[in-house]
Amino acid sequence: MGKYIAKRVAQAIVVMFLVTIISYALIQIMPGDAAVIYLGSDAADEELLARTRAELNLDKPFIIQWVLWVKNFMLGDFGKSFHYHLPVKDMIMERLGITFTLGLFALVISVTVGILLGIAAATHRNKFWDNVINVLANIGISAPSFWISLLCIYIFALHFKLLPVQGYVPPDKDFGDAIRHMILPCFIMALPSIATMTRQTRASILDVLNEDYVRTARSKGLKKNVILFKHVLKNALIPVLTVLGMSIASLFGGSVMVEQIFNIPGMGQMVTTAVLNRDIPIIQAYIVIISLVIILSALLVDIAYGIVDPRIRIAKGEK
Amino acid sequence: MKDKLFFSALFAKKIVIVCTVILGLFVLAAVFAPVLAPYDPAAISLKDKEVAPCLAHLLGTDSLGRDVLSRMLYGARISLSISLVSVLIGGISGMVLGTLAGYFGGVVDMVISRCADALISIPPIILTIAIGTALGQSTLNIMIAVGISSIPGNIRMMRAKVLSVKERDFVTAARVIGEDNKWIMLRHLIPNCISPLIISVAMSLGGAIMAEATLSFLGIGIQPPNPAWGTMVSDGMRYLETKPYLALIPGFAIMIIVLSFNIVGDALRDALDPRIRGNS
Repeated sequence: MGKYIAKRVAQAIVVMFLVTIISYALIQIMPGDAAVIYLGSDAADEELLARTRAELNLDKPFIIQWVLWVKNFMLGDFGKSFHYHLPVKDMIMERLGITFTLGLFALVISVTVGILLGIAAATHRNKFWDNVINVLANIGISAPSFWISLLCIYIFALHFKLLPVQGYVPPDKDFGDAIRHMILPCFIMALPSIATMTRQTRASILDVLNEDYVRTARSKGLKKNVILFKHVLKNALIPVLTVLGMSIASLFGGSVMVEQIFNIPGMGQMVTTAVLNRDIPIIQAYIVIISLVIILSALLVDIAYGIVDPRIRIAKGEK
Repeated sequence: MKDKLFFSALFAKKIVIVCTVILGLFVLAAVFAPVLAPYDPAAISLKDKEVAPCLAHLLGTDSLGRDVLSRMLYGARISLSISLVSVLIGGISGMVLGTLAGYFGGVVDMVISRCADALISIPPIILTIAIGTALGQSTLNIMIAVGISSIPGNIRMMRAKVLSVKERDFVTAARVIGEDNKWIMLRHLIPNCISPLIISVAMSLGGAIMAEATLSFLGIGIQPPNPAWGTMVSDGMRYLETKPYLALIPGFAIMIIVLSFNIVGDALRDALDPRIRGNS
């Protein structure tokens, strides 16, 4: 087990370094001089331009630039925003908590709703409810989140006036109001994960139902629910772990759009603004932070997998 | 006989037939947009602005008096062309890199596979946005940005398939008679490994349409006055309270097309996989 974990950790570190190369390379593929974009109209001043270039390390070869950038990053210096000329770290720290609160909420929603719907679909296989859930899951995957957001705002906020149209209230200020503001955005962020979670739960329950020990349990005369909850779910939920890891990526992806539409001052909204301003340092820092979260959660999922399923750590770690 | 079996498996469910028809109409709309569109999609006419759907304007007009139906038809063109080119970019690069990784193994495999891992750990939409921003806004750059996010999945699929095929006897035979690596890959490996990749590329069309719509919605995709569906949704958003159809119609179109691509893609995969076909 120790060997398996060590191998996975080493792999994660390599991948993390590659992510920093990819995100650093964004500055390189950007047409035009980063220093000129940084200075804006002041770029006409040759001396200032040269100084800025040296300050941003743009006068050095790519590999040195990258090493310096990663070093600064690890020391907590994420560079300065091209547009606001403020430290990116401060801008991110202000917004990190909001995005993570939303993400956590959405994750809880997607796991509970997804697994429950998956169980419902598998136990009603090829019957009415299975088909309904299948169609809903397909819509959940196919519907653009910006459109579902508008539809929900139109129905729940503008038409029935049940929920606020947009905005964010910190939970420590007014908890009830905070929840009311978070219901729509979190649900919409969770939607694609709910859909994949439902499909995976359904498929793996159906797989496990074919196993011999389930047949044995059935022939012992055990009740359907006992078989489902004691014998089937325990094994069927293992593959769902993988989907859980992938969901975290899709939740963060979804937060970009949802924060923009619901006017929530989180990291996603910051990135959308950065895109419109071509503010690359913010986008780079955002990519590195999000990828770190995703790589760490994938690592945890893999290690958890190794713990619950010994076959995997033998196949992957000790070859 | 074999084809007949395939088609009966493909169209076993009514929903697949419906979706295929929808996709057919979508392609026709895209190809014949100039013939079908009743108005010029970019023609601004302020005296006709915000007309509700009626006989002269079947889907109404937007805030600048442009005919929504005409813009939808031209928007279909943009969606279709961008998604086709971007999945081809993703498919071909994934095929080449996956074949190299699977065939050579060792360091080549490690470098390519770890890079694919790194690309996978960035959420696709964020990767697309970042590349789109860095490259700047042009149709080709959007195609590249959307295409790149599908590369890692394609690499993994192609690599796995090549790994299994390269151990087969005919590849060994080719190597024994002294054929060079390039020839073996082009002549023996790629033709025998490409079918799952083709299916996955077909299945990613829906995702590509969605990615393009998302970019356009955020204002970093297709630039006005070109009528991309995503741009139409974001333009219509401001009138959600008074003219909800302006945002809801193009959004609904995106959803239906993506849904159809996904359903037909799933059916195609199942119909080509004899294991699943036997069960259903």
